[in-house]
Amino acid sequence: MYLLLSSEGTTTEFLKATSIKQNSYYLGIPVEFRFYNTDYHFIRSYTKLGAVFNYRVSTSTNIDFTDYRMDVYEKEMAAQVDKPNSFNAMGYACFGLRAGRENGPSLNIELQCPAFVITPDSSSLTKPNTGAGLQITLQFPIGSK
Amino acid sequence: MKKLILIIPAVVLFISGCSSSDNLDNSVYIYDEEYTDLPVYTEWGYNTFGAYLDRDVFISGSSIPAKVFSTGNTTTFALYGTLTGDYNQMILKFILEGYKPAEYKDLVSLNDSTINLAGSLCKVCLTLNGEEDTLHILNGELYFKRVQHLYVDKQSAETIMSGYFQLQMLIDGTPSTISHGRFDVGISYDNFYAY
Repeated sequence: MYLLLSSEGTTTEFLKATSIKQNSYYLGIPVEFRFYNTDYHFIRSYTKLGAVFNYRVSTSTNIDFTDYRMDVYEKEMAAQVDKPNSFNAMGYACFGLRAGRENGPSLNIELQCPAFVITPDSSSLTKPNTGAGLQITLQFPIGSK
Repeated sequence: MKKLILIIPAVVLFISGCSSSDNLDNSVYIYDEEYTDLPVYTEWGYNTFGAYLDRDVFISGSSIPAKVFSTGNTTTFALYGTLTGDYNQMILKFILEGYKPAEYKDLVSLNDSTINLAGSLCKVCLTLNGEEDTLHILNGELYFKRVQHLYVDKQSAETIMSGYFQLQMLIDGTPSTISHGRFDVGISYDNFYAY
């Protein structure tokens, strides 16, 4: 791909890049409904419907140039790449496995499929509609009465 | 019994991505919203051109869409494409008298210049089905709206020539019109000739 470095008068400069990688990190608030498929066992499966509302904490953009000597322009070019919106939301269905005693700590491994983006215009380089994900959680009951 | 549960995400992963590949030699067709048979006017070196010859469409194909050859005291800007209807290959040549660039980089001197196609310093030739005719131009102009020298990774890559053309002419004594012509082509070592 070609990235525009400058264009003035009759001179235009591009840099050739092999890839642009953008990583965004979010803090999210999930809302989930879990349905166990079986009665209590130490390991049991469940399905889940959920949504998560995310706030973008940070974003980093890295560009791999074809010519390594162009790396000096990476910061300048990365600044031209749009960042995702500060907020986004996703909905998902999950299939998961829970390992642990009924009222004790547990380990949950979940496959999110499908996961769909509720706010499709919130991204920058891509416009994701659907996808898949993996989530591993540790669950601790911390109070009861 | 009420219970408060603390859930700690250990790993959360959601992946999306895309990939693409491109080359300066490729043709990129983005069609005009108004004249939907023609590529939209661009200045990115998309290697496309298009125009109407009366009601037929003259448009660039998959091979080299343009060549520039400088010989003697003339320079020819030639567009190679296809014409819809009963014809196949069509070549439209604008022959500029008294203009002689030494290399493709020198073409930037045409930036923002208009050529009167009916004037004495220009000839226009049309090749249809292998037969070339020098046209009798009634009126018309070739406008090099933007000609820019393109560097890629600080190395000279090509000259991008973008502009418009339109003309009325006689073909075998019959009036015809080339209208709404637009081009955006890259000229480099591959398609510039000086001899």
